[in-house]
Amino acid sequence: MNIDALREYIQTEILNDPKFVIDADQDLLLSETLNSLSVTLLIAHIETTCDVHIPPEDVTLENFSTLRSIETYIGSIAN
Amino acid sequence: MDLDWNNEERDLYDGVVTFCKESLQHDVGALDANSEFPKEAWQSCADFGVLGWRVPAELGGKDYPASLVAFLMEAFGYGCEDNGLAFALGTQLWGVQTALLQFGNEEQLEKYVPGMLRGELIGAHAMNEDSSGSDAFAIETTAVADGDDFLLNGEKTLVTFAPNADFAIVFAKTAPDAGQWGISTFLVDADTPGYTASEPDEMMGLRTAPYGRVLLEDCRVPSSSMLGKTGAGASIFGFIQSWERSLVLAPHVGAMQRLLEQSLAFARERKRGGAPIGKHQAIAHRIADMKLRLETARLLLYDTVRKQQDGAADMMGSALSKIYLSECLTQTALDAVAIHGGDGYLTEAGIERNLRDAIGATIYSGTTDVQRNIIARLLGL
Ligand SMILES: Cc1cc2nc3c(=O)[nH]c(=O)nc-3n(C[C@H](O)[C@H](O)[C@H](O)COP(=O)(O)OP(=O)(O)OC[C@H]3O[C@@H](n4cnc5c(N)ncnc54)[C@H](O)[C@@H]3O)c2cc1C
Repeated sequence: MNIDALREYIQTEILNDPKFVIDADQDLLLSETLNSLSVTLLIAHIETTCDVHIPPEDVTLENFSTLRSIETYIGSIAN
Repeated sequence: MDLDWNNEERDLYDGVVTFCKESLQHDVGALDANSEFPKEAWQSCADFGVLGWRVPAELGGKDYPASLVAFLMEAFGYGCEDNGLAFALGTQLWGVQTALLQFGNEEQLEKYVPGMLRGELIGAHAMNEDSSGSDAFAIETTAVADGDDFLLNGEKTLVTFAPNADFAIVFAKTAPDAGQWGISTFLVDADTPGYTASEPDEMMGLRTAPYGRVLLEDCRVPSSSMLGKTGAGASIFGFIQSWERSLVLAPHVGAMQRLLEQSLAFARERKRGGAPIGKHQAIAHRIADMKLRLETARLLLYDTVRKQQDGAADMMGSALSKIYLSECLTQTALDAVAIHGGDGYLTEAGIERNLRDAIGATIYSGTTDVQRNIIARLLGL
């Protein structure tokens, strides 16, 4: 799952605002663009779409703070 | 939904009911009046194997699927009038063991799980603070790295088993500026210097389980006591809640069945104006509603549990079950008091205790208001 697909899902399904601007390196968590419920929805979506399992203990700032870090993380567990 | 349990599972259910009726002989009324924990009954439950139902065989448990454990806890709620004991067992099965089994490393599992199974170790799940409550991640307890250790400071409140737990799962901020993403989880032994448990706090209901506060003052724990990764505390808490929220309420289904049967028997037997009170529509309809709540609550519970055990975090189902089961038991207990009239209000008869016990579930593991917020958010509001 790449940055564009992640961005589109967050814009349309989570934020309900397709025009919301999200840069690849923009913080999503500390800015509270995504709250805990949104993160859980995003994870469920990634798990279904990419057929991967994301252990809850991997859901950290390091792995989920930006679109780029999420893409890198998905790449690391998909291999 | 297929709720057909096989013969073996039904035998297990019957075995739990028999165990409760024959082996748990403590005077619930007296213990409730004194806010006293039934230690011997706890040991009997451990000996019977309750605390190992969820635990993998290699750690000495039965490794039952969550739906079967829920079914057996339903049996417990039916067979045992001590709702506080059922709740206390639930906190271990779903709050403490979920955390250990999912996130514990080999050393941590070995240290705590076998002792829990034997009834020798009791754990507390210490998240809540005066500053947080429904805003769960607004905790102020800190864990500051100091060499190979962490120093914990803060106070946890309203924690089940705080007064007599042997260890606590403590959520603390390792990075206070990172909000919920700066929370980490620690396993802290109660005999660690700097760890002080309060005396039991008096509660409205579920009084046979002890509650209280845990004070952490420069409480030094090794970094090996961290559960999961640094900064994963919020995710760990969320995972535990997704299980605990619906499953800790499984005994409610059994309690509703018990109250229905008691009320039915009373309505048939009690005569007023020359006829059993059950012939009055007001009583009969109350009993019909008790049956309706029992059957619908059961469906919702097992639907959620089965989705959850199939690997899908069922946030909607957990929130719906949490609200529905807690509110159904509250209404059923209120109806049971009404049906029993003055007897229902008498402490000695034990009916009113169910009403006091029922209220707690509308508050713990996230209040029903908070669950409604979750449902609304999931519906896109
Ligand atoms: C029997 C029992 C056992 C418990 N055991 C434990 C335990 O083992 N470990 C632990 O950590 N904690 C435990 N707790 C604490 C429990 O988790 C909290 O009491 C609960 O989360 C509510 O927090 P609070 O009491 O601070 O209420 P508050 O958060 O102050 O809420 C007060 C009222 O405001 C409402 N409210 C608050 N925020 C919102 C909102 N955003 N939207 C709508 N309404 C809102 C609430 O629904 C409630 O009606 C236990 C509580 C009870 C009653």
